[in-house]
Amino acid sequence: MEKALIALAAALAVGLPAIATAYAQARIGSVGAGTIAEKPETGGIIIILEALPETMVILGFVVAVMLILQFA
Amino acid sequence: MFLKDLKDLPENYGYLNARLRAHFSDFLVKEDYRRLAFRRLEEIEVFLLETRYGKSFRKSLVEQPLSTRRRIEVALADTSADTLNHARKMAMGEPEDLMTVLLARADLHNGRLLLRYYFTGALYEGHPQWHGYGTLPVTFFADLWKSHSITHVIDKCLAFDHQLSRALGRACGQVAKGSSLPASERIFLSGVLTYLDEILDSHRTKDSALVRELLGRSIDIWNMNIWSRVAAGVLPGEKAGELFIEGGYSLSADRLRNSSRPEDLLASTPWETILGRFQGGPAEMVTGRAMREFWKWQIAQRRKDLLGIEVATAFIAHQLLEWQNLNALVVGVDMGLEVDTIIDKLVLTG
Amino acid sequence: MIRDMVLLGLWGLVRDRSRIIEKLHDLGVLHLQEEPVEYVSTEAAADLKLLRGKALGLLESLGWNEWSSIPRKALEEKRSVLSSPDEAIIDGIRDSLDSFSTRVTERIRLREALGSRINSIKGALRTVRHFDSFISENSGKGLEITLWWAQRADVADLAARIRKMIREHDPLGSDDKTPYHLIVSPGGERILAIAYPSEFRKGVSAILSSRECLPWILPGEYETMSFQDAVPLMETALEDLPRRIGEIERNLMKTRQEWGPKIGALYVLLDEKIEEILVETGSDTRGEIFRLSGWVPSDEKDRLETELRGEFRERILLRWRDPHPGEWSEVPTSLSNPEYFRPFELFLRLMPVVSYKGLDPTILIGIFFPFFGGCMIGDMGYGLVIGALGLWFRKKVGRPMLNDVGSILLFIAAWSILWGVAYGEAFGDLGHRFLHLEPLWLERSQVVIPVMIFTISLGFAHVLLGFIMGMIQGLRTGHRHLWLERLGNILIFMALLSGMVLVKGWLPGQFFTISVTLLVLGLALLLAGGGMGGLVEALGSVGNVLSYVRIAAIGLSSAILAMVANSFVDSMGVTFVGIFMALTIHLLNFVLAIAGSSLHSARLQYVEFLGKFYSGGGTRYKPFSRRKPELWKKH
Repeated sequence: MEKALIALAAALAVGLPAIATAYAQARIGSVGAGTIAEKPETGGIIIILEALPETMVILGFVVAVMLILQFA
Repeated sequence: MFLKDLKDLPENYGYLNARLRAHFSDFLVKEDYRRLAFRRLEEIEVFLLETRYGKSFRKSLVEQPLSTRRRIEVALADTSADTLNHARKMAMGEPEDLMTVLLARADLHNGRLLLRYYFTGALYEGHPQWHGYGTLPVTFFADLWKSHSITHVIDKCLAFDHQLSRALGRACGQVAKGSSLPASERIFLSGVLTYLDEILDSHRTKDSALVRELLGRSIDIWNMNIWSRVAAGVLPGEKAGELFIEGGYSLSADRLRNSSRPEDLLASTPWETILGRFQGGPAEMVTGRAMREFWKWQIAQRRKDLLGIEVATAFIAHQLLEWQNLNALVVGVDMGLEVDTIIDKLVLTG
Repeated sequence: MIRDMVLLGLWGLVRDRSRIIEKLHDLGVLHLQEEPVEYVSTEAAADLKLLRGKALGLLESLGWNEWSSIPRKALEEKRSVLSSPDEAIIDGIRDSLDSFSTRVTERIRLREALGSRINSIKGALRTVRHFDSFISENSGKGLEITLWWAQRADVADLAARIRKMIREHDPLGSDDKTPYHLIVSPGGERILAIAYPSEFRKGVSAILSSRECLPWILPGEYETMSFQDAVPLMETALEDLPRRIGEIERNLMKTRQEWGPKIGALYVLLDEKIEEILVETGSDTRGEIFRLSGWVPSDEKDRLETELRGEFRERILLRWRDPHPGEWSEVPTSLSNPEYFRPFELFLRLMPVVSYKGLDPTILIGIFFPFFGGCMIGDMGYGLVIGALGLWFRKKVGRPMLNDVGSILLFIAAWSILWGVAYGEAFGDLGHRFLHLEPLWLERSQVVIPVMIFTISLGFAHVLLGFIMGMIQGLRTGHRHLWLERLGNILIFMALLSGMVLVKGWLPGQFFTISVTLLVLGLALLLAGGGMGGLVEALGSVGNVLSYVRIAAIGLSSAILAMVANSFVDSMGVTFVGIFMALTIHLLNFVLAIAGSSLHSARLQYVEFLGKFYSGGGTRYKPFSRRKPELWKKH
């Protein structure tokens, strides 16, 4: 039972930020694509903006690994 | 099921708007018009040959022996219609429906041309420049134009089996009965508005509300037009009552009936801004000024919401305005008008 | 590397002008300082532009688009004809284009006319067929048959009136019926067929027309014929017309193949000439002398000078100078990298053009991008497949972009194989099972933490390198804020590193003071360079370093997915389904591995690395040169 809870916690730690990131990236992506289409020189900054939310999942992944290694 | 859900994703706007925004830089800017106004017709053609209008020019250069001015007019109409149809094809789900509403002004334009043609009864060979980006196909209108008898036009309209064509059929019926042109046009306009309202009713979002506002503003302009004719004494006041259309954006029926000066009509409405520019000017100028204001309002939508119908609204307005401006410019240059007079006739924004 | 540029000022005689400009066009190295302005088009340019439009329009209506098939030799030969186009030449070209386009258009129109004739015959036959039995029955009785559009007419009433009329004239008529037949088409149109003795043709027509019926007539030349005569003729025409269309099409195809490249060449030459005329009108002309100026890569300087001197000798004056610091923003940027790294210039195309005094990161991307990508894939088997894919891409002739991608894939493949050796993976654990491969370093699907620590260290080093580059950039361009801030970041990073080493107890405690000093110094520099914003950015760069964990995460998932694929064979045995499932999952994993690894590795370059020093705002080097035929597609 305890193991199952830890696994669930780890899954949530990756899953929830992944959903949030997906939502944010979809929004930034659609508007960013338009911005690049309008002004190609903004490409660099849009790539950075699009990449920003990804950090959440990476942190979530680290937390998940820690959870499993520490408690399981 | 999944595909049905896909049709209403908010990302539909994302895709459409990204593609539309890429093309905003294709539109001519103020300076372009200023420079073109100094040029000869042939030079304007060479300039347009290098732009996105080029393809149509090249086609007519090879295929038809037309005059320079006619060639320019054809190229402008063809390219504008192509651009707008292409834009609509990129839309899916809600934006597609809303764009259909936004582009229905082509049907309105074509229908009114036809009504006027049969109303004046001055039949002639040749055909007008149809607006080819609406719901009803241009071939339909061209066929009606060639019918030469209003009874056949009514028949064909009713047989075509589309709500808009039936509305046109009813309006033609009014012409056949001998009603005035505004009365017939009003019947057509109401029919079109009913059809568009039905489309809008299936989408209750902030985007459809904007399109509704745009329709409301168009009705305001129609009403202002009727009002100014009454104010100028062209149209008797008692007849005007039945010509006004309900559902305007800001001008109520009472206000329209009871105002005699532009100031009374427009004060404390969104149209108020046009008052300042023509202190004491004649009432007929109201519609023209309001139209300018309406164009500017549409174009100003461009950056209001990058994931909404605003971008398409501004795009369509940009394209239609460019068409109108270039046409005015070409006519002005062809008639040898002064540069300032030409520029004054254009609606320049941004 | 960014090539050094020199500014060329060229003075020449006006009478030599068009030849000098032609020569510069041939040499193709001068980036003009002022872009030719399209608005100021002289009369000659306007004429040529119309001609060019005609030529392109002709190509479009012919449907020709094989620009790469224009023989280069023919271009060279014909170039001299257009080198100084006078009115006679332009008129000649216009006349021949006009007469040619008339011929082509006639054929295209004929084809369209025949096509619409087929349609109208087909439509008419479709309608007539509805009345087949009616027609044969009544024409057998000697009656005349006509068809009518009867939109709203009351057909029974009409028939009764016609019958009445016939009986009035011919009370002894044997048949007291007027046969008629009505159909309603799917489009809602009502068509009426009516049969009557031919002498009543006029009367019938008058009655029907009075009730808003319109005569339905056979198309074109069949209009006056009876149905029985017309139908067989129409059927023959339906067989004959497609043959004629085919003939016209073959003819057009032949014209396209024969004339396409020639008109295409004419288009190219006209376009080049227009460009030259625009440069000519844009040049600064005073009396008998004109001046042009522009940027030339310094390695091309000698060649340009020798070529120009060789042809124009002392009739031309050339002045060279290096750009002033104030001009750096205007100097165009041209990249020149060792052949192996050149494909990686592709990465910079997504970014704003690097400024002239900026740092070209191509080589560093060439080192780190495949290294990170390979680390994520980490599988010898996948590496070999990627290598094969890369070789195949490189063999695609005439697709420079694909060739570049192919080369990049080869780099990734090499690193994937090396990392595969380190992890002991070949198609997951297949290598271990069959070839008893053992990891050289560790098995990443079992031990996660060391790989994570390794990737974070990698990130630390990569981001640090980015900061160092940023500092160099700041020093090169004299941006004090930039280099102060970057130096501050470097010091803070060093402080963090020494702090961690101290915590681990790998260094004696006295080093603690050094750590703190580095930290304080770093913070001070950071604040001096970037203010509070700099402080926030420094916090962000810790996030940047953590971001490299993705290398471990993606690698882990890829390794596990490969093992899952193989386990299908375990659980299902060596059966068709088992192998099929295993292959499918491997394919999926392979696609994910390529897409995921390159995307994430690219992201690490763009966001974490380039963000620290890359400065855009440059101008792309666009020499005044003749385009290659294969690039003409994009007109």
